[in-house]
Order: sequence, then structure tokens, then C-alpha cells
Amino acid sequence: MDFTIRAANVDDCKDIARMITELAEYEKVIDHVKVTQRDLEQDGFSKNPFFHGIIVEVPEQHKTKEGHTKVGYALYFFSYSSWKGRSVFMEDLYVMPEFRGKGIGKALMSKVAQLGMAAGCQQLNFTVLDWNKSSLDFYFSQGCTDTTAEMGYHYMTCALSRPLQVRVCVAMEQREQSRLSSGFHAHLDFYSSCTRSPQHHTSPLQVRAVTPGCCKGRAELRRLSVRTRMQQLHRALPARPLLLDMALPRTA
Amino acid sequence: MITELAVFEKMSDQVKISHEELERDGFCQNPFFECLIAEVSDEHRSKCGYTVVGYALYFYTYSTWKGRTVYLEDLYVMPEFRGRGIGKGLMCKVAKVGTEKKCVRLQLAVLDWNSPARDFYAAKGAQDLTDSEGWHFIRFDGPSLDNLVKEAPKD
Repeated sequence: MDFTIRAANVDDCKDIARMITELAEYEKVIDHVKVTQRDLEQDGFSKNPFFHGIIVEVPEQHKTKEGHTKVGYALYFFSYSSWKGRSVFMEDLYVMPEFRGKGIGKALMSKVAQLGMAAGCQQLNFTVLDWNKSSLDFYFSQGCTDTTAEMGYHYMTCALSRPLQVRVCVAMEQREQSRLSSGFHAHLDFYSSCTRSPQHHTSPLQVRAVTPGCCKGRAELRRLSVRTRMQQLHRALPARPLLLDMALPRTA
Repeated sequence: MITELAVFEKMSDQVKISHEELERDGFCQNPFFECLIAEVSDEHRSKCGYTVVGYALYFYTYSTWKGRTVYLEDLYVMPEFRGRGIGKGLMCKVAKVGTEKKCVRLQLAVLDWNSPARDFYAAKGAQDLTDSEGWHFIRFDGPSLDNLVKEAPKD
């Protein structure tokens, strides 16, 4: 089958996001995917990209029944081995099921290897799930080494998530106190250093009074669960202006 | 210290780069890695006279599921300076640098027999994805990498 491989551009992110989801479904971890098309656009196509991509395209006459001509991708970035030097890590390699068995996967992987070598890399690394026998067979047929099985390397991860920080200034003048039971006014000075893809937390609301103060300004309350939690909170608020720092669950 | 770490990991013959590659690759316009150094004052220098007694070498990677990630390639403290919180300080600093770049994960690899390191990382909340999810590290290098490159499609 005729196909072409080229460098991905920002306009490919919609199809890359689609295929990332398909790959995650295949790997049985679809609920793990938090990255969006917008994340890919910002992280892959800015001044200092976190990754590079290559895309496989087929001619119009071979498009899928849904009309896709972009049928595979590989996503990679440069890494470093303190023993061997420059390396390339292939984060994803994916070909849509109906286009497999035609040499596209091998062509993608070879292209990543070629791009890596052109950049002075001495190794191509990636990870594969131990139950993914068809992938393991494919990679072993190409002469790879399983450094987990042969050398005992274990792959470790630590989450770096930070709680969403919301600064709430609640001004309660005397005349407002009577309205506490039915509603409240909150002036939000919303600040956050969370990532663009917040993870879901279920930690309880924590409230810590910082300093007495007055209203900082008004910000639009967009998230219903923030409003709901504020409604729960107002019953406990003392009758004076307070600046509160609250650690909220990321779904707030 | 890279050599000392490789000796500890029983793979000193695997080290192929020298300080020249480190200078070129870590301090160019688009560096392949960043590095933090742990230094002690002169009166606490090592028996051999070193004041640089530990390091953490890391770089930025990407997860198509979770997003920006920082990868800790090496974490090392000279034996006579261990047990004083230097390793933890280095790792936490890498995590802090990572969060400033909006990374959501810190990843690393550890050898299965290296129980002190595994216990250290587990105490910091690390999850072993090889044990829990079955991930294996795969590598192409040397002749296998050359063969792969030969089969790349022409542009």
C-alpha cells in the first residue's frame, strides 16, 4: 500500500489526539488519558517543544470508512543516558488496525531511529506492556533488548500534582449577615499553578484563615462545584471579612 | 560520580561518554539534560578532597496520557555523605524544578536488586509501573539500531 511519512505539524494534533485515544483503548487504559488536543498543540509546537511527531498518511482512495487519511503516528523526544550520551525515546508508535501488517509500523520506528541518529543519538528506547505479545514479538524480531527482563530495570513514577489554590475573600457587612443562610457573596481572586490537565482528586476541602482583609476584586464563578462548596462553607464563616486560602479538589 | 554510580550498579563497562560529551550536550543552546549539584563547604570535603559530593541529572519528557514529565536519569550521593538528606534534597529539587515547568510526573528507572534505592523511592510515593502494570524498558543500540536506520523510508 502506498503511504507517506512526514513530520507532524500543529494541524495534525486533532488526528494525533484521536489516535492517542485509540492506542489507550488498545492498552486498556483509556481512563488514564488526560492530555487534550490543545495540550498537544502547546507542548509539541511551541518554541521549546516537549516532543516531536511523525505522521503516516495514505492517499484519498485508501482513506478509512470515517474518512481519515492520517492512519498512524510516532511521537518521540530526545533524552540522555549518563553512560551512552544522547538518546531518543519513542513515547508512542501506533497504526490504525485496518492498516497493520503492511510495514507501516516498522517504517515509523525506523524513521524515528534515523532521526535520532541524525541528531547524534546512540540509543532508541521505549516501553511496552508485558502482555502485549504482538508488539513484543515485533520488537524482538527487529533485534531489540528488553532491559527490564535482562538487566532488571524497573520503571517508576511519582505524581507531581499540586492542589488547586483558590483565594477567597469574603466580605460580610452587617446587612449581609442575614442573607447567609440563603446565599452568599464571594469575591474570588482566582490563582492557580495547576497544570492544564488537572487530575481528579477527592481530598476534602481545607480552609485556613490567612489574614483579615477586604475584598480583592470580583472574578466569575464558573464552576458549580466551587459554588456548592462555598455554600457549605458559608455556614462556618465568622462574621468578619476574611481572606481564606483553600486547597480545593482539582475537579472544583 | 557517573563512574562511581556505574560501579555501584555493577556496570562500569557500560560508561562510554566522558566529561567532554557532558559539556557539549548539557551546556549547548538546546541542552539534552540539566543537572543539579550538591556541594559541601571546604571543611566537610571528602577524604579525597571533593566538595561536590552528589548530583541529579534529569531531562524533560512527555506522556501522551498525562503530559509534561521530568525524568530523573541519575541520582547519586557519595557513600560517606549518605544518610544526611542530600539524596532527598536533590530529588525534591528536581521535582520542584519540574513543577515550575508544569510537569505532572517525575519518572525514573531503578534496578530490581537495588533495595535501598527502591525503598527510598517507595517512601517518597513512587509507584513501580513494571510491577504494577507490566511495563518493560526496550532498547535498540549498536548493530540493532544501525539495522533499523538502514530500513527507514526515503524522504
